[in-house]
Order: sequence, then C-alpha cells, then structure tokens
Amino acid sequence: MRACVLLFSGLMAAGAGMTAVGCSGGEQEIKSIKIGVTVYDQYDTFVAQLMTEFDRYAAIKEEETGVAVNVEVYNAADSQSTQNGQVESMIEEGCNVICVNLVDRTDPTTIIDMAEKSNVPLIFFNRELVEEDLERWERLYYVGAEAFESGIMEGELAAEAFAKDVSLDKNGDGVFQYVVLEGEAGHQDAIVRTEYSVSTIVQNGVEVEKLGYAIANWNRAQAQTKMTQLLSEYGEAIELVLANNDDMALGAIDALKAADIPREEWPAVVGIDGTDVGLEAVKNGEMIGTVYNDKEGQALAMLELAYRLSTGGDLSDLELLEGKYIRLPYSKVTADVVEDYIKDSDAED
Amino acid sequence: MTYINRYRKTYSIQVTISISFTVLSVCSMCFLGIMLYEQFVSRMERMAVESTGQLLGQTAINLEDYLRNMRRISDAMYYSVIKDKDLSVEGLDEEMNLLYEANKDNLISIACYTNDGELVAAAPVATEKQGVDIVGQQWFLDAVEQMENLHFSTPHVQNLFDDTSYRYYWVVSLSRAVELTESGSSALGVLLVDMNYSSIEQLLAKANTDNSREYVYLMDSEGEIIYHPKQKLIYTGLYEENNLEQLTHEDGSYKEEFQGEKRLITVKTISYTGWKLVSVVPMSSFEMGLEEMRYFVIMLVTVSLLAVMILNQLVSARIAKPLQKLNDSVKEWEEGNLNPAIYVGGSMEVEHLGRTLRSTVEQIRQLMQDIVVEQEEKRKSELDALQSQINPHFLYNTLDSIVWMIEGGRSDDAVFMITQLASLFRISLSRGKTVISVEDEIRHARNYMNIQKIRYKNLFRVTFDVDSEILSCCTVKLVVQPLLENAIYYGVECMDGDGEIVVSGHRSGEDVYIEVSDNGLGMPEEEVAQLLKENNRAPRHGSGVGLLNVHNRIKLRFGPQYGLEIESVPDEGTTVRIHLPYIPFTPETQAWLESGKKQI
Amino acid sequence: MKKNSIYFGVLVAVMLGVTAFATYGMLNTGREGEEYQVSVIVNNSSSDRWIAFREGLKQGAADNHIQLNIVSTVEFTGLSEECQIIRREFENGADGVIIEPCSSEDEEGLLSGEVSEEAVIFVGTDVMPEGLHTVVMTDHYEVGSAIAGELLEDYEGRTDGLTVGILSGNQEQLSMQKRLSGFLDAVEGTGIEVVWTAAEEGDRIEELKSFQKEHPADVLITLENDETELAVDYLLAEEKSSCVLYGEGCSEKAVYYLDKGMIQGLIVPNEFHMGYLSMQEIAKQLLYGTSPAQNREIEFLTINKENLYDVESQKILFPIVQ
Repeated sequence: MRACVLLFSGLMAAGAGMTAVGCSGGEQEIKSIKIGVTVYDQYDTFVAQLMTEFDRYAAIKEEETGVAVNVEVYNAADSQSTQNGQVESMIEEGCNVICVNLVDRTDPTTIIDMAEKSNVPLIFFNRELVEEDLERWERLYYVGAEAFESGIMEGELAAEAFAKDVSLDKNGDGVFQYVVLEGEAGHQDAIVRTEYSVSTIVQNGVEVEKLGYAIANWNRAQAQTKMTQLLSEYGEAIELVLANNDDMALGAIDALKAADIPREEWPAVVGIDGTDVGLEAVKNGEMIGTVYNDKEGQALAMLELAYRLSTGGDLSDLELLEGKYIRLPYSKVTADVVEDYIKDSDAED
Repeated sequence: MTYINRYRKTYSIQVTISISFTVLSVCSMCFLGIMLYEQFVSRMERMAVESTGQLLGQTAINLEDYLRNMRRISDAMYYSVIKDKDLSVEGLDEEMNLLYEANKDNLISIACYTNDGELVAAAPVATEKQGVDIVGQQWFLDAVEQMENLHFSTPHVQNLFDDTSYRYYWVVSLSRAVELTESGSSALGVLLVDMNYSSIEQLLAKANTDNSREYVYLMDSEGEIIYHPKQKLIYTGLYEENNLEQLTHEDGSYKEEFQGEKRLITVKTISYTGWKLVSVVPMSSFEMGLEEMRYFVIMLVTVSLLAVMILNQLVSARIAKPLQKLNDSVKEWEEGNLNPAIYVGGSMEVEHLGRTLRSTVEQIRQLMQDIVVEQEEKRKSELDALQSQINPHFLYNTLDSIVWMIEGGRSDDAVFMITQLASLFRISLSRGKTVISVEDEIRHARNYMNIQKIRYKNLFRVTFDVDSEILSCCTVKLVVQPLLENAIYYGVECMDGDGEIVVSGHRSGEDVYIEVSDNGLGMPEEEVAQLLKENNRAPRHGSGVGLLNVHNRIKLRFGPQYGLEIESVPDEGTTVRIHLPYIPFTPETQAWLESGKKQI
Repeated sequence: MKKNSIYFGVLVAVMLGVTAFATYGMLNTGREGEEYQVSVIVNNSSSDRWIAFREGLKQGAADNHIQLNIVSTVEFTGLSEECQIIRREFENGADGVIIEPCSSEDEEGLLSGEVSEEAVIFVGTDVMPEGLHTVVMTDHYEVGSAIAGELLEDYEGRTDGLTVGILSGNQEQLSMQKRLSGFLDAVEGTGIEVVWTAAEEGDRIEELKSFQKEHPADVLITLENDETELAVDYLLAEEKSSCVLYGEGCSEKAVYYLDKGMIQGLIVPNEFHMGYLSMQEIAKQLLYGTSPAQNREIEFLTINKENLYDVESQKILFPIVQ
C-alpha cells in the first residue's frame, strides 16, 4: 500500500516536473519586437498612408537599432467584432504592443479587457476613444491630433479664401453658401470638424448659409454621389464645400468634373488630412486648401511609443500629455505652401 | 525442488494466489478500461454531433436572420418607397440613403434599374461604371426571369459602380423585379440589394474559429460554394470539397469518406434560399481529442494494475508465508532432523496447524525414544538371560567331578569344589543384580578357575594380578568368566600343561582395564577383527558368541566407547582386554547403573 | 521463488514504463508540435501587389503550423541590404526564409553564402546559377510570350510598323530577363518595332516622358506590376496620350485600370498560389530536411476587359475579404 502511495506521488512529481520544464523559458535579450496593427478600413486613404509611413519608420528604426521590428497589419473592414478577433489573435501571436484604429470608438471595452488580461500595451490612433475608456488601464495610449483644431483650421482656410478672393462669392451677396460632406454618422471627428469649421468661419466675420449636407462615410465614391445629388439640388448656388476629409473633398471634385461644370465656376473645396492626392489637388488648384494631418509625425510617434513600450524603454521624453496622449498639431496647406508638404514626403522616401 | 515442482505444474500458494489474482485483475481492469474508453468515445461522438448540430443550428439561425433582414430591406424599399413614388415627380435617393445608412454594416449598395438596365437610383454610390452590361448580369436575368421571387446570387465581385480607390467588393446580390411608376404608367424594373459578402463571411467565420479541423461551409442550391474556410484554396484548385455529393443529402448527419478521410457531415438547409450549411468533422479530429483520453485510460489501468498487483503480492505473501515456513519446518523434519523447530504463526488456521504438528512431532519423538529404550531393555535382559545360563556341561562335569571325588573319598576336595561352586553361583545370581563390584567379579573368576583347574587336572596355570585399586569399582557381572572359558577352550586346553592364563587389572585414569591373556594358539588378525562383529558368519570355534555377548553387555551398560579389545598373535597367545569406566562401587552407583540411565 | 520475484519486478517495471509513457503522452497531446518560424522577405513589403501573396502565405502558414513573419521592408537598394536582413532574421530565430531576391546576379556569393545551410525558398525569381534552390514562380518566358500574345491578338494583321516601348522592370532579376526575351521572341518577325526599353532606374515618370518624346511608341509593354502602375500613372498624367498598355500585374490598381480600359491586357500570376506553395515547400524542407531543389510553377491568367468578371477570373483576381 505504501508502495502504491509512493508510486503515485512519484508519478505526480514526474508529471509536475515535466510541466514545469515545459513552462519555463528564459528571458533573453530583445532582438526583435512585434507590433500588431489593426486599422478600421485599409481603404481609408489617410489611414493607408499613415500605415505606409509607419512601415517606413519601422524599417528605418530597424536599421538604426538592429532590432527587428515586425509589423503585422490587419484590416478590420469596418467590423468591430472582426477587430476584436484580430486583437485576440495578435495577443496570441505574441505581439509586444498593439496599435488599434478603432472601428467603433465608443466600444473599446473588449479590446482593453483582453489587452489588460495579457498585459499587452495598447496604442489607439487616429480614432479617439473617450477619456473614461482611456483611463481604464495605465498602459493605454492615444496618438492623434486634436479634432477641433482641424475644424478651426478648415474654417480659417475657407474664411481666408473668401476674404482674399471675392469671386468665390458667386452670387455676390456677401454670404458664403456652403454644403458639408460629413464623415460617418456619429463619428466624433466628423461632428467636431463640421461644428468647428463652420463656427470658425463665422468667427472670422464671414456670414454663411448652410444649403445642405450629406453623409459620405469618409469615402470618395460616396462623396461623389452625394455631391452629385447636392449639385442637382442646389446647382450654382453652392459656393463652398466643407469636406470632413480629403477623400470626400476629392469626391466632390470628381462630381464637379463629372457634371462638366467649368473650372472657374467651381465652388471652393476644402478638405482635411493632406493625403498625397489631396495635396496634389491643392497644387492643381482644384482644392483651395487642406489641413495637413501630420501623418509622418503620428506614424513616428506611434512607432517610437510602440518601440519603447516593447523594449521597456523610457517614455519620459515623448511629451505625453497626462501620460497617455500624444497629439500632433495640424497645419494649414494652401496652394502657396503645398510644395513644401509634397517635397516633405518625397524627400523622406 | 522448486524445479521439479515447476515441471509438475504445482506452484506455491503465493504464486497461485498472485497469478490468479493478477490475471483476474488485469482482465477486469482492461475490460473496465476498454468499456470506459468505448463509453467515452461514443459519448464524445454523440456530443460532437450534438454540438455541431447546435453550432450549425445557431449559424443557420443567424444566417436566416441576416437574409431575412436583407429581404426586409428589399421589401421596405419596394413596398414603402418604389410603389408609392412616381419617378417623374421625385427620386428615390433620400429613402435609399436612409435605408443604406441604417444598414450600412451589411450592405454594399442598393440600386434600382429599369427594365433595360438604366439606373434609376442607387446608394451610397451612384457613379456608374462605363460600358457595363447591366442587363446581362446574372442577378438581373434571375429577377426578370422569375418575377415573383427574390433571388440570392452566389458571391461575385460587384461590377456596377466606379470606385476611384480601386476598391472592389465581393457581394451577394439580392434582386427582385419591381414595378416602377413613371408619369402614371408602370414599367418593369429591377431592385438590387448587394449584401456585403464579408458580413456572411464573418457570420460563418464565427462558426469556424475553433482550431480543430472541423469546419462549416455554405453552398447554394446548385452546390456552388458560397463560403468555405479554404475558399481561396478551392478556387486555386489546391483543395477539394465534396460539395456536389453533399448537396444530395437531406438535412441530418452522415458519415462519408472523402479523399481517404472519414468524416462526419451535418447538413442544414437555409430556408427560402435553398442554401445548404454543411459542417464537416473529420473523424481524425475526434481521434485527436481522444488521444489524451486514451493515454489517460492506459495510465489509469496501469496504475491501478500496479496497485492491485502490489496488493496481491502483499496479501498472498501474508497468506502463503506462514504456510511456507511451516512447510520448511516439515522439510527439515523430513530430512532427518528429529527435533525440528516447527513454525507456529500466521493466520489462525496455520497457527493451529503448526501447533498441532509441533506436538505431533514431539509425541513421535517421545514414542521413538521409548521404543529405543524398550528395545535396549529387552536386549539387555535377553543378554543377561544368556550370560546367566551356566553351561550345563560345565555344571554336569563339575558335579560329576564332585561325585567322583566323594566316591573316591576325597571329601576335602569335594567340599572345596562345592564351596567354589556355591560361591560361583552366589556371585552369578548376585540377588538378580547385573552390576557388581570388580572384587566379586574377580572372585567369581577365581571360583570358576579353581573348579576348572581341578577338572583339567592343572593342565594350565592361572595367575591373578589385579590392582586392589580397581576392586571396588563397578562392572557388569560375569564378564571375565566367559573370557576365561574361551581362553581355556581355545587357548590352553591343548597345551599339555604349559598353558598359562593371566588375569590382570589396573586403572588408567578414568578407565579400568581387566585383561585375560593366554599363551595359547592365538588367532590371525582377520579372525580377531571378525570376533566382535555382530552377525558375523565367519567360521569359528563355537563360543565366540560369549565374547560378543560380553562386549555388547558392557557397551549397553556403559556406553559404546567401552567393551572388549582383543589382541592376538598366532602361536603366541591372545589377550582380551575389558575396558570399563572407573565408577566406584556403591549401592547408589549400582542402582543408577542398573536402571540403565547411563546411556541417555 | 527468486524467479518469481524477478518476473514480478519485470512486470512492475513494464507497468511503470507504460505509465510513464502514458503520462508523457497525456501531457504532450493537445500541445502542438514545435512551430517553425518562417520569415518572408520581399521588396517593399507593404505594397499592394503582395496582397494576394500575403493571403496565400497566411493560409499556408495556418495549414502547416508555421509562425509567419512578413518582414517590413522598403525598396531594397541592393542584394547586400537584402542579405543583411536575411542574416538578421536567422539570428532572430527564423527557421527558414522565403525570399524574393532583388537581384539574380549574385556574383560575390552574398546570397548563397547567407542561405547555404538553411531552409530557404525563392519566390518570383531564381538566382544565378540557376537550379540550386527551390523556386516558386511563374514560367516567366511564358508570361512574356503571353503579353505578346495578347498584343498580337488585338492587333492581328495590323502589327506592321507598330512601335512598342518596354518597361522591363528590374533587369537584374532573371525573371525579368526571361519575360523580356519571351516577349521579344514572340514578337519577332511580326513587324513590331521595339523603340525603347527602359529598365528600373532613376526618376521613372520623367524618363518615360523623355523616351516617349524621342521615340513615341504606340504600345507600352510593362513586364511587372510596379511598372504597370507606373505606366498607368504616366498615362493618367498624359491625358492626351493615345498609348495602349499591356502588361503584368496583380495589384488592385492594375485591375482597376484594366477595368477602366486603360490597360488592354493584363497577365496576372496566381500570387495566392505562390504564397501558399512557397509556405508548403518550406514546411516540407523544415520537416524533412532539405528537399531537392526544384522549380514549382505557378499558373497565370490572361485577363482583358472581356473576361475580367468571369467567375473563374474573379476568384483569382480579387481578394475576397480584406
């Protein structure tokens, strides 16, 4: 009987030993890090360019430090549940840090819970979640810009253009008749940008009249359709198109082109983001201006943050606001300065 | 010993018990293990079937929900918008946008076309691609062909609108024929709801999140695959699915073999569309789950077998050990040890057995000893009886001599003879005692020799030379007389007056020696050697029996180391030596020796 | 008795052995076998042209229990840079690599030195000398011929005097050389005149413009995806150009402009298959040691406006879900 007990305990010990061996793994010098990224929609021009920049900086970082930086990019294709699944699999794959471009900025709970459980820091970017959610855990960060700032600048651009070029006031009534192409319904950036751009124009002493607005979901093709519909409704009366982003601004331009409206009768079009195509349009004079969303700066900040979080580096010189936010400033781009921005990105290529 | 036993297939109790128990437990354990395993397998299979059924049911419900939702959109668009509106008066854009925005997660676009493929309205994008043959597209054909139904297409890439971001959408088209009203007259049109294929994909991918090799796929009523986790591989021709055969199945579970793999197939038909949701569970994926169980059962069986075996060993040892010890004791007894240490112990029965055996052995030994003593006694008395028989010849001769003396008037001589004879008999009788003092024995010898001297008319001489020291010690009676008789008959009878017999005695340490020597014919050595052997058949001159008798009697009384020693040289004479222990003659020692206890 | 206890001992030992084996087995089931780590090194990894390839890699990795790591790269400057990355990947614990060599002329033996002992698969192109490694690629000569075939079919009987400009891609790669010779061989004797051939160097659009100015070509031939996109950009910029375009490509941009009618004929290799197959091959190498070097051929589709939306082409051309 005693022999049996001994035998059993021996087996148990052996089993335990084996599991113990199986589980142990030594700490080693960090030679490579893995950054997981999930974007809400890879067809969003700005986000796509941001990711291109991010990749580029990752390759540069790799060269500088000799630490392999592996970037795994997932596309959530506009589905929050898909994104949740992607975050889960990225955690399983052993990503050191995960960058999340939320699909639904009001619903980051699942992702934060998963990350907290596995102690993987999260960097949210581009689509800002509410402060309460960001406070849920100390290893959550946000990289982006101040949405209202872009709205203000867009308003300023429009106001300046109106002040400079009276021909924009096609009917000469001294009132700016405008339409708005809005991003996703309920999206904070869309609301803030629309709100601030209009109020800024008014603050700058320009009288405005809103003719109509349409939701185009940040999408160029949809914007074109919506603009076509707006044109058919208001036609010549439109003097200003305030688009929440460059894609939609370009969609509006597509519609103007498609409607065969002569160039000199085009309303003023302003966008936000400063995507490559947007800048090109500014350069061509199709858009009177755009607000440059510093994608290089954001990409760099994200990468730097991600790198340090992965390698356990010091975060103190990253200018974190409240220890969580990195916000990069917008800047106004008009035809006069557009070359700087185009060159900017070319030079770094 | 064990070797022989093995050959005869007789095993020790321990072996028998442990082998039979072990065999029994191995059998029952294995049986139990197999039963357990089988039970587990069948339960697991049942559970797998159940759970795939559940999963499939749930997925089917979700999918049906989704598709119903899409049909609702189409219905809403048609019955609430298109039917109401006169297209010449107002457009459909607003309502279409509304519907799209409300369902944009699942939709790619909503579009309405006239009978000849002209776009009436579309959301969210309405920029038509150049040169697209709308009328020729499958969804359009389906709708026009069967006007009363809604039609779901297989997944395809939408080829309607121009998206400058190079974007192409995989969609499942839901199309129906509608009645368009324009300036009061109605015309046929087609309403298209393009569902986002990735919604369906996500829906089904949820059922395929498991890492195991089971999966769920979806095909339409024609067997065309709508969703498959390895869709891209199937498209490339790197993977095959048995969809066409599975298409023929009704709803339910089936087993099939496909590409050498046994699989469990569960089919569920989605209502309205005729699509079939199929779950495939390779039997080997069961096996994977079962492997752990199999190892567990093996481990359980072996561990319990080990325990049982050890227990068996212990129990059987407990039962068999005492028996074995008992057996060993018996063996020892068998091998001749008359006084073995019989094992007493173990279980009650064995202990009792041991105790009984022990007392039996004791009794047997006692009995045997009694028999030995009895036999000895019998022999002694026999011998004694023998020795006390005075040769009648001698008595007759002596009496004849006495008669003759009396007749011859030699009354003194006759008196002497009678006196001697009387003394002789008195000592011979000694009141029935066997042990007497050497003094009496020597006196007896003298009496005898005196008589014989007269009978043989001094044919020989006799010399007594006995140390007085030994006179007072014990001897068996009538030991010297036979020697003298022998010496006379075989030694000096024929010596014609020259014969001489010397009786001497002395003590040497704890031993007493009495010698009878003659200078007669003597004997060769071989004959001497034969003299004291019992049952010897060597030819002899008659009364060698007397010597042997004496020899045995001494030995019986005093021990085997005592007795007679004979030395003889042919033609020179013979010396017979009586060897006795030195025991002073007292009534106590006499009584003690008489009782014969000396030997024990 | 002694014999019995020996038997008993042996039996106990056997039981113990079986128990240990079962315990070990039990602890080990459910645990996947060792996962190999494979790094994929391609030029400009974030480019759209790798979408289908990546998809194939991912599927292949999942099916073969391989941990996939697509290395983030920008445009390679040369083989030595690529080799550096390869070396680093091996140092970081990669068990095998899948490489698109940016040059086939490995004169200093950089590449072969790096990978001689390791599990390696080349995709897209072989390196000189040929046949030393397993290569997963299309038959490049056939691709060249197919491009020419499309051209000849469209211009049947009108080929005489047709001028052609070729954007020949990275001519350091054997694959591009073969495509070029495939094309040239096919158009030989048809009266088609190749007026210029541009290899991948410098500011391409400007170069293209100057070539076209000097020797205007009626037809642009592009031998590679990036070149096709470049030619599209050129044609977009030169709105008045009457040039038509035949080429090879697999990015959505290329497909889009084929759909738009700007590209007349497009050869699309099944890059999904390439990714999947290369994963399978490397899994084979990792599992069974080195396998003999062989070329695994990937099929390609010839797409024009007519068959773009055919069921079969759709399945290959468009990424299903992104």
